[in-house]
Amino acid sequence: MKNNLRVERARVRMTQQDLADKTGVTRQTIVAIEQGKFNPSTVLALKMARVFGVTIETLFELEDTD
Amino acid sequence: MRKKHHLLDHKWQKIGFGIFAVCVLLCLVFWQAIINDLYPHVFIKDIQTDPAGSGWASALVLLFTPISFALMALSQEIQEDERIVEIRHQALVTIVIIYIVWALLMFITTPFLVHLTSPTTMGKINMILKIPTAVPAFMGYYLLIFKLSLWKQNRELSDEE
Repeated sequence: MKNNLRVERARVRMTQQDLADKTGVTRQTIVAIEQGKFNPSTVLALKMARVFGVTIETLFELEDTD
Repeated sequence: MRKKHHLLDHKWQKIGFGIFAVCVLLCLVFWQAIINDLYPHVFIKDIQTDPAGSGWASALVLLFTPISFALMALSQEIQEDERIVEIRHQALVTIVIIYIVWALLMFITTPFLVHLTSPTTMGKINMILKIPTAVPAFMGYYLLIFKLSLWKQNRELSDEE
């Protein structure tokens, strides 16, 4: 699964720690998601989308291999 | 939507660690008496009984080590999130696989060992084979694998900003 988390974070000038605090997870979890090492749950994905004010599809994209 | 989980508060992990540290200290101080108390049929000839008598030490270690493991295994991290829950699941699966392989190994090797070794040696081998399958050991291995995986993953993920 591809994600645009880093791009969206840069757009609103938000650090990984800020995003972690706003979504109630650890900073390492945000890093893992950005690196594609961990797929977030639907709830966490929705929380992130809400923080950035975008839809889930803007943040996450399915790849052919998924 | 908040997910329900049945883990204890993080402070219980600290209490569990404190109890475990005391158990380790007791083991270091009274190791001779404890080994003798736990495995008299195996080591009675090899190790002299402690004349001071430290039965209370082995009783405390036997009782409180599993309690400390349980407290540490069943309490949450400082900030428990879904990635940590996944690491917990992976640690549990790893332990179950290790136990299945270990049980198979015991099943295959024990009949051969019975024929090849003396009863005393067999007693010692049997004990060595059985220690890792005890319930407190299960919790101990789970803790070890979970904490190592968490530490390794956090280390790999902490460099970036």
